[in-house]
Amino acid sequence: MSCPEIKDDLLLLALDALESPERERVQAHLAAGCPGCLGALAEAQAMVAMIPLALDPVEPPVSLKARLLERAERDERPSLMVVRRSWIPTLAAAAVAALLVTTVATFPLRHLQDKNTALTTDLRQLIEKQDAFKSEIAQKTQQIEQLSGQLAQAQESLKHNVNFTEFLNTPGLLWVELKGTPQQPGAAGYVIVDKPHHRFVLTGNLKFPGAGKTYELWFIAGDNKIPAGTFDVDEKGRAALSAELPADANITLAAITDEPAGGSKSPTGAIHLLGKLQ
Amino acid sequence: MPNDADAALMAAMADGNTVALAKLYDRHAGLVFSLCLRVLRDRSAAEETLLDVFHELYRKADRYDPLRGSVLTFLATLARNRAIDRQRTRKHVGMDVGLDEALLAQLTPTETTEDPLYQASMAEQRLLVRQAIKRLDASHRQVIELSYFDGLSHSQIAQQTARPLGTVKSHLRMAITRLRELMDGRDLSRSAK
Repeated sequence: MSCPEIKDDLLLLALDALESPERERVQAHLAAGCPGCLGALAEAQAMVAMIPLALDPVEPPVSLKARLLERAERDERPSLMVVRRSWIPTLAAAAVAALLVTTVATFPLRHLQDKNTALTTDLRQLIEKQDAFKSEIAQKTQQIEQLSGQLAQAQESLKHNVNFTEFLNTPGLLWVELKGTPQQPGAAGYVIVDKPHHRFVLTGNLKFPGAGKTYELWFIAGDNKIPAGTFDVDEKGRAALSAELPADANITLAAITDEPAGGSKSPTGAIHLLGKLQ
Repeated sequence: MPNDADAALMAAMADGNTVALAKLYDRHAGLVFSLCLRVLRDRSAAEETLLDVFHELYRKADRYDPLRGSVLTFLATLARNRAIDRQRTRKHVGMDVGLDEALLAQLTPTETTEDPLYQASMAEQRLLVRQAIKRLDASHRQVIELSYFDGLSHSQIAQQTARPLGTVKSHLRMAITRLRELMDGRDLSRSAK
């Protein structure tokens, strides 16, 4: 086909109204690169594109523009998608694209990994601190328990001392001095008797009675030896006993013997302390 | 110059500039919307097509070559093709594609840009095209409209106008040639009435 024969067909082609087989023939001519016909086609397309100008323009809804811009904002930037510019060598474009992809793809991963490592370190430190706190809390708890025990002892001791002080202020007390026997010459003590209230307090200082043994106080009235209680001594040999005074009015002596642990109903061991009641 | 301004906006859009997209939309949305309405005869479908056209224009802005034609040519061709594609799809799925005259009557013709130079240029071109189309013979005008706005093939036009296929082909060829002459201003006086 010659160029003059094609001129009118170019108008129909621009109008998209050229049908086979003319369409294929014209397209083949254009594909051969005929510059005159390509220019004529461009002119025909421009002319056809003017046809809608015959219509009155109609204002679209205002919301459409906002929707369009919202949709465009969600897109990738067109310039980032362009890799087929003629001045960009293919390999360079591929390398840049690969670098971009690698950078973009791995940056969030590396960032998350770094963050994860930092958080793991923080967590490990917190666990170590928690273990240290737990150990410290256990130590403090043990100390508190010890202090509580000591406090309870101190309170008990205070209560005992208060009671003992009150006892000592009781009018009409009988102080019976206990003296060490040849069995234990260095021993000494007192039995303080409150007859009106039928009670007494023993205080003394003796050696450790020996394994499996204890000391026992006896009130003696004639041949009657009345057990008044057993007691032990502390690390310094101090002894104390407080109990009800037996009812026998003829008590004349107080004696302390060593007895098997738990005490005896009648004296079996040696006398270590002995005193007379007035 | 409208073409220079449009080309500059397209270049900015190629760099992802959505402000340029908004500006280009303001300049041509009225024309594209009226074209979509004329082809589709359905406001909702025309709105969606309008969105698709400008979105595609934005995405393909980097492919635009000013040496191959104006933005208006590029845009009008894209809009017509998309509108006709949608209309064919709608017909294919059996949708009602009849003309909603009441709806079209409610539509308000308007200019969508406040650029006075652009308005003046477009008004001049619009007048030229309207005069050219008005001066076509009725049969020629009809085949042009059926072909351009409705996307009908020769045989479809022949069937719709009850004319022989050869006559339709002949009328279409003469009509488009005549329209070019009129729009080139070569023969406006001859048909002026």
